[in-house]
Amino acid sequence: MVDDPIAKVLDDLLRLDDILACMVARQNMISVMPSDGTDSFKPEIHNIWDIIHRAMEDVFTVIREYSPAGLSEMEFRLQDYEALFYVFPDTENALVSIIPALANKGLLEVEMENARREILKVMESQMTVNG
Amino acid sequence: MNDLEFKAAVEVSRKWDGDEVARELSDKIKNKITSPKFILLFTTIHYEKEFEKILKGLKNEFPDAPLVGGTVAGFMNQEGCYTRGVTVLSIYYPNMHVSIGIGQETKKNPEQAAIEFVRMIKDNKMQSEASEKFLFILASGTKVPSLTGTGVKRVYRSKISSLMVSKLLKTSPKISDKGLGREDKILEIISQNLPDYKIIGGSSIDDNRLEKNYQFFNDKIFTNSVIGISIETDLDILMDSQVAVEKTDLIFDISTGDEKCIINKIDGKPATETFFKYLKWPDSLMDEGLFRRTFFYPLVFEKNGELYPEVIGGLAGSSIICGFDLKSDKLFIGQSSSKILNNALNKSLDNITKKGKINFSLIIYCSALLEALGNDFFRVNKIIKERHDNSPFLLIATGGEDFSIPYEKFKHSNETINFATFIK
Repeated sequence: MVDDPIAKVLDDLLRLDDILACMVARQNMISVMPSDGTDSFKPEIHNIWDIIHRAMEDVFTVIREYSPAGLSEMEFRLQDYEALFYVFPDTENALVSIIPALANKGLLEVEMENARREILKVMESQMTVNG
Repeated sequence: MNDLEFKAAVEVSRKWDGDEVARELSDKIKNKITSPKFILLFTTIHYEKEFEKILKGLKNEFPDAPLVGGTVAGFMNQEGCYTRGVTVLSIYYPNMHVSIGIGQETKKNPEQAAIEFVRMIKDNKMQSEASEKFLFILASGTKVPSLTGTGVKRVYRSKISSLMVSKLLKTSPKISDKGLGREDKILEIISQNLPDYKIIGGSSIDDNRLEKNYQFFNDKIFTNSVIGISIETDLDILMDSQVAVEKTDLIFDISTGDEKCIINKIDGKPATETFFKYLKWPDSLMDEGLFRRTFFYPLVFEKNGELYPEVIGGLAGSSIICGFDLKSDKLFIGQSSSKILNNALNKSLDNITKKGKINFSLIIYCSALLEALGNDFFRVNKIIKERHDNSPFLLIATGGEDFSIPYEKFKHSNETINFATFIK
């Protein structure tokens, strides 16, 4: 797992205080987690993880439907948290982060975008290697 | 390689360990410049525990290059946009005289700190007259004192808390490095004492929480200082500043107390409640998210025909706390939008691309605008990059912005975009 370059990008993202959890996911499947899995999520997320996870599934229905039309970002607020979805173009996959609702979201969005770009590069290089 | 050539290296490291950051940045600088005239170093707050290693590492590699810098909310260059990382700017140009200065305890005594800073710059000034005199400054920005001792709040609704916060803002600078940044006063003293300098600068900040910030002076770290670098050169330096806010027709009279940045009354009534009433906002919006919501609706005063937007720093009961002194009894509510922002940016870019080829631009951008833009900051990057046509640039996002034109004006404000462009 440690050698997975996408997990490494998620590890970097998770080192930011206000990124409570992050992953690459699509409907019914979390594709890549940070190196230590859910153990590396910030403790406060554990109480609310189940409900957020369920809500995420519904968002992925929308992503699946509209990603081909150019849907690039989505977000929802649940209790004191926000989930940000950065969709990988033309796929049903998204980089997902959970942050506190009162976090300075704009600054975090810049690093979400950097993470999305880095993951895209990794995906593209993996596609080249696999032919 | 031509020794008369202007060379600028704007480099980024995203490594986490301070030693590795210093090594990576040193290597990248050396690939472009062997003996830099100076190094400006900016980091996000995430590297707080690595500052010492980064500074020592860079000074070991470039012992003769003066180094100044500090923490910023984010930065941008030709490679991209970052709100986590470390960046350096180093320049080589033979006809360039550089000196650095520092003034300490800016929150307790901003006048004294500014005078101390000016003295250092004047002591190291070139004796002959240079065609351009340029100064970059970075002052410690406002740090909100904690009422409880743990964590920083920006909104206190009770009257008692309100009184306490006002008192804390006054007493904190006497006993700690917290309190109002007083950058407006610092800029005023510096620009009055160095009236022939073009000045650009900002307030060091963390990740917009206003809890802590740092300034660097060679290999030393400070928390309550103004640092800066003076450049005397035969290069032309174009300056431009644009406000990314427009006035609305919401205008009102205010009254402040001893502290000219705390609004106690609006049109004779309690300030907080009246502000919310005028904006037609429910009381439920009086929460810690207020700071973010008011980016698009800053308070604005007008002085000598110039607009001075102020981001609302916090609420203390019925009082509204701003970041610097309000120099008018009449305020407007301003508005910003991506269209207004783009117009301001394009106006600056039109002005700085009028004359000759750009060698390099240093851009000071309000951290509130960065927070408001989020990942649309990458669009700003695309626009600046296109207009720089492969010339390097460095944009830093600071907690307030300083801009001064010799014998004409000096201005500390929020929500502005400021350029210092070096041209041939």
